[in-house]
Amino acid sequence: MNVLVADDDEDIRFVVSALLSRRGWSVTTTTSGKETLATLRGASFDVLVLDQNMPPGSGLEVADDLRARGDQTPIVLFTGFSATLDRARTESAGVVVMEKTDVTTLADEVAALGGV
Amino acid sequence: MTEDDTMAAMSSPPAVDGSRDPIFACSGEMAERCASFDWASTPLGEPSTWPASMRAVVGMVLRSRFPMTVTWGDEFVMIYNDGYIPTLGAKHPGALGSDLPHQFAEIWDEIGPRQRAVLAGGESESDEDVPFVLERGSGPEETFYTFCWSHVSLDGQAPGLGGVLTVLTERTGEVVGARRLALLNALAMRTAASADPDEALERTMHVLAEARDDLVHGSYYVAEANDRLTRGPGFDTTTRDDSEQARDGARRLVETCWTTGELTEERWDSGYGVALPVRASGRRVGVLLLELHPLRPLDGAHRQWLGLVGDQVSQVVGTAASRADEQARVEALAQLDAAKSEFLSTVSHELRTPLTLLLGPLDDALADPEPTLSSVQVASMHQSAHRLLRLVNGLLDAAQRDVEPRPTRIEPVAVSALTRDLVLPFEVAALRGGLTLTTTVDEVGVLSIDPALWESIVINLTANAVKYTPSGWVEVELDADGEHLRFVVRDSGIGISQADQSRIFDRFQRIETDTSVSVEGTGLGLAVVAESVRALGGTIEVDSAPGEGSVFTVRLPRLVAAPGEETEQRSTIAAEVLARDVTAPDAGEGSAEAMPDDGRPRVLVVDDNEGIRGRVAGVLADLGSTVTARDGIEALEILTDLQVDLVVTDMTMPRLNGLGLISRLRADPRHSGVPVIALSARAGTDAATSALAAGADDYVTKPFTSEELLARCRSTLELTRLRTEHAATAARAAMLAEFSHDLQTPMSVVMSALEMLSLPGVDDDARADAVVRARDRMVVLDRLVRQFLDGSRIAAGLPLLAVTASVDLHDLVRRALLDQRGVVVDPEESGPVRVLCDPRRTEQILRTLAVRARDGGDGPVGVRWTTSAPGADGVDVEVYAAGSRQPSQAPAQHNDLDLLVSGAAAAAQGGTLSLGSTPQHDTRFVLRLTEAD
Repeated sequence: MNVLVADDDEDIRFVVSALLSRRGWSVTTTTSGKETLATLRGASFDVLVLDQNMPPGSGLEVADDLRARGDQTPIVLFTGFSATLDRARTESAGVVVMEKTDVTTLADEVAALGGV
Repeated sequence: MTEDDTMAAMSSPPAVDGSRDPIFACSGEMAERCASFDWASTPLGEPSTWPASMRAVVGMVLRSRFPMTVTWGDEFVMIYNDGYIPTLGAKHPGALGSDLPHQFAEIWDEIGPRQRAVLAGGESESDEDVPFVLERGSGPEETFYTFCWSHVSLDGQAPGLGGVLTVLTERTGEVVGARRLALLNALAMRTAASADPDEALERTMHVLAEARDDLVHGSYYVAEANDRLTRGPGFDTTTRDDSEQARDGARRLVETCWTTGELTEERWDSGYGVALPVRASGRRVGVLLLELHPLRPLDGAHRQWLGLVGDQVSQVVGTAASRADEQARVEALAQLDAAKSEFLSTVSHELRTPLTLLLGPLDDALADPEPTLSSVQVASMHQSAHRLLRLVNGLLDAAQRDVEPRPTRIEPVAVSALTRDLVLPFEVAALRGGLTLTTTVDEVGVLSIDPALWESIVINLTANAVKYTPSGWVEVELDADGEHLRFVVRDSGIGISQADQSRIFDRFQRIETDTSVSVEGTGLGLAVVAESVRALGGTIEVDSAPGEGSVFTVRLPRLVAAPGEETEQRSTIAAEVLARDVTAPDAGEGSAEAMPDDGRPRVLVVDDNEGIRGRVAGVLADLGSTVTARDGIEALEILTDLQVDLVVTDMTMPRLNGLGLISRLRADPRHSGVPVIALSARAGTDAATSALAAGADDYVTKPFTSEELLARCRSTLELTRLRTEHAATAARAAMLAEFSHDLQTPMSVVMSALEMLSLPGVDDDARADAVVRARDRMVVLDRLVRQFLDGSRIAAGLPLLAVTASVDLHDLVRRALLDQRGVVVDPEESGPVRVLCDPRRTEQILRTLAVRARDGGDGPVGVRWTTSAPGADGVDVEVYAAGSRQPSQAPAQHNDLDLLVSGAAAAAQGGTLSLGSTPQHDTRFVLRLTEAD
């Protein structure tokens, strides 16, 4: 399974990649919303793990862009502070919201979404 | 002969004896003509050769009383009866035996195809009220006909060689009549709602323009006062002939009509011109010139109709004129009403101020179980009572003059001396108000004049000039100009607009301007002057422009009195009293410096009246400390270096009024939140509404009791405190939210690392890496939590603790910024130095500043330090970065807790933290530390 992890924090990218690749999945990382969109234009993934705040661009902007193109790839919005997100907005973007402190269950959620 | 006999005779050949053919043997012009007509020269030949059926039809046509014609063959050879003659007009009698296509060439294109179809044996054709433009001898004419065309077949003739019988009725009169009646109705209906004659005429022309089959041009000529006629509104349905000749014709016609007052007509090349007189209220007011449609003959019916049009227009214009007159009367009454209301409002304002100053101390005294009044209060009340009396006397004088004009009392008066005496008190008043008043009084001699009237002219004009001149000068001049006495008052004041100049001499009229909306007085002064001047047989002129001052010039006849008769004149008390009232009261008693900082609420009291200021400040002394200002401008000056908790302001003040002050406060970020209570003597709720709309928090009307004012101020302060607390709670909540947010990322890194370490299938390198990352993030978490705890101490009002030691500054900076990428220590200026500080706290401060500088600037972050001048023991550590990002561009990862804690931490170890920018370094923090011995 191919997973993309997008986060502007290097440590987060490291630990999340380590936890996911441990399951034998191939992990690609990007550092901003803009870079993520560029990467997605050349490749496709089974699951995306996106940070919300990663300027330039945000996880929800990436999600909206994909959905607008009819791309229904499962997305985990892996955010630092989910309480500030607009529920209607995340629902319309079709993303699963996870708190960053829930990192221990992230791999299971990705597995479920990727149908593994 | 019986009818049967006739029919038999007509169908038989004529007798050979030359007597009339039986088919023509009937009465009437056409029977006569037919009988003697040379039929042999027509394609029809001799009537004796006509087939019997043809003869029968011709006989019937000639005998019919209805207009009929029968045409024969495809030449359409015409035989018609007497009733048909009007349809032919001038074509009769030539049309008999002639061909119809030729006779009706002007409409043959329209009717030819249908006639041919009928001739060929088709169905009968009939139509009602069909328009035809016929030539009947007086040019093309609009006509309407109802007709029926039927085929006539002849015995033994091939189809197509029979005839066409036409039976018709002319309907022109009915059709045109109905159309004209409809126009008259439309004229009445659609002009009825006109507000004035102009609108009535516009609408009339609009309706007339739609009568394009009857009228082609129309113009209304309005009679001016000198009997000149000016062309007003009009209409054209076709291009108007605008040649010199045509215009001459029109003018001639209009003038004739105006002179005679009768319908006047003239035949022009283009058609008929008709001029109709228009009357309103029985008087001629104009002329309506119409040019008739060339297809309509000017007959009796037409003239009658035009007469009705003229009457209708007269009625419309007359009704509209009286409606406009009525409207003008209503408006004049409304204006008078408005002037009265304004006067009442002004007077009640004037009366309420002294009333407040009288009632306030009395209320307070009565609230006391043992009522007492201080001598200061009594003096102030006495002054207010006198002011009230003067105002009431002024009003009574004015009322008296309305009812019964005072008779003039002419006496010999030394006018120059009297004038000097009258102006003198104003010189003192002007000086007090910061104005220059120059008096130039020539010796004009002993004159016969009413001294009381002269006095009212001098003191009112002078008082007015001083009142409406906030700064600058006033000049008063008296000289004799041959047979005239000239009194001139010039000022550099606010001036009077052209529109207001015509009204200022009206009673109760006061000019409201931005510069000075509140000048005391009842607005009677200039009206009194005007009346006095009139009573003395003189004139008054004003020359002024807004912002450029005013010049009032009074000219009176100079009547020299017999020598040695002058009576002793004293300047009356009136001048002194007025002079005292026209200038601003003494300077405000309070100032920003005098404001104690005792934690009690600070209140700014703004009022142009000294008494009110004193009273409000006195009442509010229980509540907090007060500072006073005389007007909005002074209030703003005080507020430039003072924050207050409450502003209590009068609404009507010179320079900047209450509304102006409130809007300026609301627009100023430093004072936008300060509560304002509006205070006004103005009656009516408009003042309250506009004050609240401008942003006042509450409103108190004069006169007010001490309790009322105090209660309103207390509740306003309490509400503001609650709002501020609410805002502070919200800010704390936001800070907590941001703090938890800051904790999230390091926490998740640490937890992920721990998760990795606990799971199989992770290689050793990754495990080691995870441990390092987790440790670093734990350090960050530790700092964040300490910072939060420090923040809590600060919020609780507790000091931060600091343990100071002497450390090498370079080591400390290096340690602090070890993990901060891109920070450069400037070695040039930063020599070795030891400082006395809490190392852990100082490291934290430097890290905070470095992060802040990096996020605030664009360039690399620099650090340098300099020792202060010899003798001082301070060391300034600067953290700076070039370039300044807009706040929105800065990564929003910081709450202000870090800076708050840094500032408190610097203070805890005896240093200071300041921030600012310099031209070179757009973001720059300076941490001042103590140099170690």
